[in-house]
Amino acid sequence: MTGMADEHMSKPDFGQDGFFAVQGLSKTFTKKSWFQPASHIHALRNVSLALSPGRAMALVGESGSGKSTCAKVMAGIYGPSEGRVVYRGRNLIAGKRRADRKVLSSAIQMVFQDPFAALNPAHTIEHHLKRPIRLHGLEQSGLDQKDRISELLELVQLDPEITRRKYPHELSGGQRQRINIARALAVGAEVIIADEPTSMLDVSIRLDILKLLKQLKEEKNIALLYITHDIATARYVAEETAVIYAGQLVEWGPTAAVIDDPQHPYTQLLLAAVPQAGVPFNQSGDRSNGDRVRAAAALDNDRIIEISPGHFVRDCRI
Amino acid sequence: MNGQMTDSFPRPILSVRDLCVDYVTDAADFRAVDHVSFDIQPGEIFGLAGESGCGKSTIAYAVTRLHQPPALISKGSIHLEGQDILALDEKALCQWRWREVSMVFQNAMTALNPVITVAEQFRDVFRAHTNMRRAEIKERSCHLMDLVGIPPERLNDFPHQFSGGMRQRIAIAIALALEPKLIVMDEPTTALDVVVQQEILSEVMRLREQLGFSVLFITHDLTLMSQFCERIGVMLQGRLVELNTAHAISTAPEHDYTASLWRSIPPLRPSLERQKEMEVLL
Repeated sequence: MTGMADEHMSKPDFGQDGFFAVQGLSKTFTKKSWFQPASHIHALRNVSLALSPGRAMALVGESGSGKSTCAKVMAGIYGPSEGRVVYRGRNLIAGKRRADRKVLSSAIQMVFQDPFAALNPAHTIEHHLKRPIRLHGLEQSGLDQKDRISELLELVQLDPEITRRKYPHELSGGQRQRINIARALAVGAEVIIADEPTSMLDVSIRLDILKLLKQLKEEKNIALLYITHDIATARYVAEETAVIYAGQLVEWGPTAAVIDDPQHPYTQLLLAAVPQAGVPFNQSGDRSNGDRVRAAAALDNDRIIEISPGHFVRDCRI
Repeated sequence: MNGQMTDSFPRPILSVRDLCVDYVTDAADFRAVDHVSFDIQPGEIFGLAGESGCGKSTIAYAVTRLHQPPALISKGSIHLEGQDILALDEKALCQWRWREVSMVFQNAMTALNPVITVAEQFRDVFRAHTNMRRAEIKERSCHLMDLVGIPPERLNDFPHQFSGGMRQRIAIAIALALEPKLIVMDEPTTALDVVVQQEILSEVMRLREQLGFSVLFITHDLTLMSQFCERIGVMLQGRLVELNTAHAISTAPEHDYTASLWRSIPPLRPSLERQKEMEVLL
């Protein structure tokens, strides 16, 4: 691990695709039935993304838009139907080669939405952190390992002595999410894919978790993919934002450009729906506009327009 | 505590006075709701905001008398249209529920029965509370589905065949079945994404114009609440710490806790001043 880190230090300019990228990713789920012909769901269509160390990208979309599928393909939980997952110049497709799989699973870690379901209720926090270290063969002698766990817990701002012996049910939702982040760091993750890490937490705790992710990104030089449907938080966490709908990216670019100057009708729809204090709802209850925008955004369209440097939008006509 | 401010209105539809709810345990009683008083006017959307564990859901359950032991209403009164809710016996309660007050829960997947069709879930409600005939029930169910914007042909589908947003619409349609005067909505859109959330709440607003029910709306999303509700109560550790119009709560919060709740919500398009503030926080 350290060797690779050094290599990275001496070569700060990794370029867009050098560090971690997915290229032309498609994922089709097939639903087979005894009585009906098989149906196909195109969860991802030709998605390309690149992450760089020390930077974050927000992937924004509504439920069912394919953002979690994208995360799972990137983390190697699903294999893609088409496309490549490239990490430091190596094409890794999960499950193909054992060595690749190991690289993928130690460098790329996920933090899931539900901090309650992600930890085993029958084991202590220490166990949750010790196990990934052992599975990835990063074990050190007993004393060092204890230090390593303390270090990890301190990194996520928990008191090692108190937390170590506790069980998941003795911790709050925010603390549990911190454990999940510590677990991702335990195996030396360089890329963290956080799938709606704050949506199950209280508003007042959300900021703390986002702050922690932001700190890790900056201090540990981690590449962060922040998946959310709360586009308002993207501004504070991520330098870049990509909006996904019906499995294809519809608009991407610097976060400020996407939020302040949205070009794609779906991005505009999404931004209009974000709750804003003091702006009363329109009472028309008119759904037709939203339906029209969604139908248009779901169509295949290969024409990409560059609005300003780095800010791209997929052509869409309503 | 805030009784005076609603005195100018003629007659509230729901009146909660000095409500205390305790969770009785072997060790000690835990007071989840501590002397809470508020009124809801006819046709009003009233919001209760607060973090998890502040007692807002406990109030929702107390108002519908759905609270179960170890929860115990130890003090106070709840009146709906002048009727003392806490005095109702089991049988009267059965008559009263859903006809006067109905509820929409957070998770529509668990609120609907997964093994029966939507049509049957409607039928359940009408069978339990009315003596309508089959054909009438069918007609009314179709009308309700239409009201919430789902094609009535889909009545014979099962809950899992609908999207999350549609399921919540169905839950709302079922809540509207007997034209109740008050609908309690306990985090109805927390599990949904923002676009669907806005669609559903706009729909509720439209239906309220049409049917004239009141809503007790519970959520932790203060921003959303300030858009949707007319008046808001903010809860902290079982107490109602601030009660005011949505406008006052969002522009000039009086209690420190309300202000701190606002501070923890990142605005989509922050002012320069707010942006600096957020940069310090994050």
